[in-house]
Amino acid sequence: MRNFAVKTLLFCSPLLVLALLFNFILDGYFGNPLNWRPFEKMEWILTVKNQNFDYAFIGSSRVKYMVDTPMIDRSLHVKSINLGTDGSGFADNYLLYSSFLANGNKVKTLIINVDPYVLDSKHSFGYPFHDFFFLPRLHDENVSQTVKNISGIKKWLTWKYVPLAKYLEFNEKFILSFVHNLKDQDPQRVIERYENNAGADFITNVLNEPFPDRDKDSFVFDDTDAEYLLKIVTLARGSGSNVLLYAAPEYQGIEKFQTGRSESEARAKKFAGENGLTFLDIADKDIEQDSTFFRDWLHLNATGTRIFSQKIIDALK
Amino acid sequence: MMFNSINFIIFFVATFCLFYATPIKYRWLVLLLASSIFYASLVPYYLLLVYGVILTSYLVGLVMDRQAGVKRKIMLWLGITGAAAPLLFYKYLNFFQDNINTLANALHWNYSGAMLHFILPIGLSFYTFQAISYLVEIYWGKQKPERHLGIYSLFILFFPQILAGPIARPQSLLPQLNSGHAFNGDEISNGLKLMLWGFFKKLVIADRLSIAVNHVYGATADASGVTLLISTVLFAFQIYCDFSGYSDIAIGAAQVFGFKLMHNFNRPYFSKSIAEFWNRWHISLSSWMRDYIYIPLGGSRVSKWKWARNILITFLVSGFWHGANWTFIFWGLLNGSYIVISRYTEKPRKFIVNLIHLDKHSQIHKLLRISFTFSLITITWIFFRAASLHEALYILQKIAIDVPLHLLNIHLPHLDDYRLLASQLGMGIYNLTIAIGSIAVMEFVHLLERNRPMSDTLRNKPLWIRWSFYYAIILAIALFGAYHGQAEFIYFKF
Repeated sequence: MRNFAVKTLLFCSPLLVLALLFNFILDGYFGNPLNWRPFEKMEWILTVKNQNFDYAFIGSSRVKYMVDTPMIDRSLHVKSINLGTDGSGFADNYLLYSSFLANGNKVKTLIINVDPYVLDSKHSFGYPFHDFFFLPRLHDENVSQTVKNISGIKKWLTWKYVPLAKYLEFNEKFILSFVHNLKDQDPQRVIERYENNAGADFITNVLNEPFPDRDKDSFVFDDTDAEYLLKIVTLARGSGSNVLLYAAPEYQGIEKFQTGRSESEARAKKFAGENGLTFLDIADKDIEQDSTFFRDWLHLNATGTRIFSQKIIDALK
Repeated sequence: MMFNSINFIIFFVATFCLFYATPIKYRWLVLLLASSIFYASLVPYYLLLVYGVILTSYLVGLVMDRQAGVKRKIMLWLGITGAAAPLLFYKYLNFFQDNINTLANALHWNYSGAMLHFILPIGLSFYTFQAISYLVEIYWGKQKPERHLGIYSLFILFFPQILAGPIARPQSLLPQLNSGHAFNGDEISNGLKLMLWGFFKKLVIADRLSIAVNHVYGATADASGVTLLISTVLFAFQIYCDFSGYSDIAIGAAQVFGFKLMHNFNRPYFSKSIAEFWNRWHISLSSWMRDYIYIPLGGSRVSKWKWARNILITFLVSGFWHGANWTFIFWGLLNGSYIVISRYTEKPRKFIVNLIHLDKHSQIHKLLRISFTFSLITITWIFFRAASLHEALYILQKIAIDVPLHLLNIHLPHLDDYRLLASQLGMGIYNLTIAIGSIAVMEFVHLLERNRPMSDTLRNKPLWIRWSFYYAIILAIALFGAYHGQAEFIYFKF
């Protein structure tokens, strides 16, 4: 038995040493957002440093594509930033926003999109918490706690204490990122694109009506999503920001694919009241009834975004 | 818990430590407890079902051994019925109900039987067959009944093999369970190496190929004939790597605890005939079918027509065992038909081989036979994988029409073709390249294993070569394993 134990130890020791070494190197490498490929919106947000903003908009793709921040800047003579990212829930938004503030950025007013989708992120998004993106920064207490809460204690323990485990589970993302990084474009082009657009992105293609039927949404008000919404609010208030909420428009008739919507909206209003938050009154039937403003049931196209952004401007004046 | 999960690794290490820390006399108890926990971790109350089958077959075995003549036979059938009742209920009731409903509808009868909704207990078909094997062997007088209920329970519940075999025979496993197992470092090391190879096949190859196969078979109407053909070939490798990977892990895990389980696969895609394929594929089930169905029916020692009937019945049962669906029945019958046809065409085939002097080029002849066998088997996989007979026939038709047309337009392959193919398979260049590369590695190892297992070949090599090989496999599993969205083993649903 002793012989077996010694052999096993000898065989495993180099593996352990290599795993620890690679874990250390990869944490450093992927801890830098500039090394991620594809270099996209989340990565870009982490590269923004030491800037002062009058307004920051945060949420999912319904913020990313539906708030024309350059237009808001021109109209109100302010500096704003669009922090919306594809398919992200409030846990993603929270970690991004805390890193954004930790990078020396300041925001006067944070405006958060709150709707039944983001309050039920597990059902609304394919992968609502992009844990793999934050894993190289697992040593950060904030990241660690969020990963533990959202991804579960078992995964958290494995990723934190088994060397390389986090890179193994998402090996495809990391390997492809590394390979593309060797041969790929400079992220500068993406950085310039988002800097020029104050973080906004626009959907240019327009699909014709009728939009295809959606799968049934059965909304629940997810307490974890609400918890992370509150964390964003507390973080923002702690940094001296004012916080506003709003609900982005959807194409009329989407309710026929949904249940539990009014309950979720009522809970959101109650939540806002309990936490001293106000919803911006920017609902617009004219937008919601015109399919030419939409790319699909949930996303405005560039034309719709301009009209909706004007509503935001009017509300902020 | 699944073999390819963190939970299993923790469970396995804990069981290993406890097993070898316990005096030999009580080690069966550790394994029985561990096996019960392992099975209960899937759906806890289905453990009661397993114990139901255990108690039934255990008691019938004891009583039957004291009987003779008709009473013995009645006991056997009582035991088989009792052991198979859960299988019939959970696996086949809905199938029969559904077919009766369809028939009633076609005949305009006013009948609509209710369908039941439940999760099929994992491993049910496997442990039921193992219990039946035990009863039949006692009936034949080839096996004494096991008097120790704990040991017999472990025979059915043994965690490495309860979920998907290999289906053990009582003569092989019961004596091992009854004897003590001293710590044997070499055996443990060999078991772990086999498990490692199994994980490579499952995580690196099978789970990666499942991306393409699920993508294409999930929307067959959108796929071209060429894409359907390629995804079917990929499925041939997926199912092999999935099931043989599972079997390697199971056999290796048992070996770590000092038990030898039957080998389930022997490089089946190198078979030169369908009959040979079935001697190399899912060996524990094929031999079960041979011993308990084919031979009792008369085997090959009957007239040619009766032999054909025996083959077709055996494969029909094998198909139905795999799943309560017409696709599996057809799959079984197709395999049986291949064997029957191959026997009836033996003489003309020999004549053609002699005529074109293929017999003088044995390597080419062998290669052609292997390719032809692989092609025939790949056709059967369409029925195995398709959701319905209708879909399977549609896929076959689409391949038959599209592929010849594509061959007419064939040109030198270009990187863009590869990119297009990867996209049509829904897996991207990265995944396709890894899949093809790892299949090549596996088949290369299979080639090296022609004369003796890889472990034996490596045993005589210097330490640095051996360890480099194992480190390379560990590295490949780490870098190229498909971990995200842990995939179930295909055979767990049987």
